[in-house]
Amino acid sequence: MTTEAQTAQTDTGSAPVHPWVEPTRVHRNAYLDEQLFEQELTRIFHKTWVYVGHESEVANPGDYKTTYLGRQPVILSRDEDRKIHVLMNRCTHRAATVCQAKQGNSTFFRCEYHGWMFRNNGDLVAPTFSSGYDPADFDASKFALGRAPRVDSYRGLVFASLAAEGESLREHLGRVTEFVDLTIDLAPEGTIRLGAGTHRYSYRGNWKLQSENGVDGYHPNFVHQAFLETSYLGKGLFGPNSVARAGALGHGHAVLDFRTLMADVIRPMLDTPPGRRRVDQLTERLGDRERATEVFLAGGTQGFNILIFPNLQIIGAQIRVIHPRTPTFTEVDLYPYLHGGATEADDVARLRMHEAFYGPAGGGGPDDVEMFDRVGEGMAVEGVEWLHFLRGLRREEVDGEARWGHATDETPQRGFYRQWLELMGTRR
Amino acid sequence: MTDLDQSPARQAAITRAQAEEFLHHEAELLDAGRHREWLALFAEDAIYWVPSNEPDNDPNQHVSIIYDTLALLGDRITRYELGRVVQEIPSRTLHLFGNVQVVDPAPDVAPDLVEIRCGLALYEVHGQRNVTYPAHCRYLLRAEGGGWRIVLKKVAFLGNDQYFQSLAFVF
Repeated sequence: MTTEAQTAQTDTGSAPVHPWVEPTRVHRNAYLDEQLFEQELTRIFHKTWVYVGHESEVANPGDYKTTYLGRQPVILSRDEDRKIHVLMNRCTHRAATVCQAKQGNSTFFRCEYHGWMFRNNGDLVAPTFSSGYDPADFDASKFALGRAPRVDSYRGLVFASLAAEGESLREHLGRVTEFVDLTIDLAPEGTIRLGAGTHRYSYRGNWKLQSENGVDGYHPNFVHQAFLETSYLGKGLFGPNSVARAGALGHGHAVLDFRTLMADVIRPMLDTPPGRRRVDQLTERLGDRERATEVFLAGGTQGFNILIFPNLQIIGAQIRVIHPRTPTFTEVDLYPYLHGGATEADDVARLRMHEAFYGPAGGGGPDDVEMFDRVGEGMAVEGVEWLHFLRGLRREEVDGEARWGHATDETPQRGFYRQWLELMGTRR
Repeated sequence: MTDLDQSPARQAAITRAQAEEFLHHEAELLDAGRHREWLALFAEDAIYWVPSNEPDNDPNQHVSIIYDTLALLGDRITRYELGRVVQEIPSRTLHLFGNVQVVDPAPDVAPDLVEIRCGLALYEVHGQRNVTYPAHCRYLLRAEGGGWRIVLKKVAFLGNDQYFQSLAFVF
């Protein structure tokens, strides 16, 4: 059965192939091999669009934050002309990082090694003790900090690509924007903001384990059974008879879509004064009552989990960024996001809701991390070497570039690996 | 003369020896896995707070690693007792409290509370992991029913801006 299905999918002639990633299974080497990890950094993280931060984190001129683009340290900064830059955090002289703080506000970045100063747009002011540099050898304009050649944003989410050319951010995002819009449109002002701190955790396993897991509707009833025992959610949401869906949206993006179930929880609010007020406000801003009701009933990322290929997820009340460190070590940042125009009581409720399940001491997060550690250990076994993503293969609905399955199907993961193959595979 | 409006008269007092006795008892309950008895140390209106990123911030504006009411703390213990996934192998812990100080509470602290500050060296063994978590702690206690009840317990990990593997044990 497996073989037939695989043949049906790979016999398209031009589909890219890879010895370790097949349409419904992935070899353990894809999670362990050092050389493959280096290729992933080069061909995925240092090439495609990768999330670097949110505009609200650098709201004012001079604001900056440091993060990673793949493995490379970068600074997201806003200059005095309000332009956003993604600068390589590396002195152009002798390589030291020029910015140590996680975030702050500064006109300049100063390398502590030999004192070189850079403006927050990356330009070198001048080398220190400049009389030692002869203009014949040294042109300061050639020693600006490295810059990501392409930076673009969608609804405040800032992405960078280290490839000078390629598809636009909009093309890359494709149909996942539908879900990003539902998320952000729900906020009273139609914006979200970060700045409420972070949760940080790490695990002894490959980065792809977390990318797979954030849109996996098969695991909650098992991994999170202890949480579900103490929650109103219960086991129906991700049970075999759930009406929720899991979708691969194309370009590796995916969604775990349980809006139909959230709508049942939210719908009674439509008949209450606060609910009607919210829909009225949404209608005023969005200009369409039907759309306003759709946005309200979806409940934002209370109603679905988003994966934006390769390493960004929007889930619950958080933006989650997955940082590959080594083939078998990964760091994850969770940024709770708040609704623009929300009351302080709403903000507090979102933070408490986030903490209940997520983060290093949440009611669910540590159980996922425990499983990543166990997968990491199990993958040392030789002779049984494939991880299988076969569930629901025969009941996928094709919808343009997207494919839909049952909430518990491995449709999102198959979609993730189709994009992985596009970037990593070899065409026949 | 003390202006009572500015500085409410303290109605409660605790000695350092009493504070240490209380903390040693708490450590004993936690390290022996007697979590239900530990939960009984908390007052009805208690908050158990583990700040994230910084030793102190406004929990209404900033995410916390833990910000539990008594009910949520009870759920935490229920999950622990279920023994699933991360708790399939229970953590073993050792709590060492030191540098115990009884301090004058801040002006906004209710007059029936006492304040303790102390250091904590928390050792956890879980599966292959053997980790030390140093922390600064702050307690607000209230005398209730012949003993002290915790109204606020704050554990500010020195490393709370770094990456944690997981903090699934009850601490």
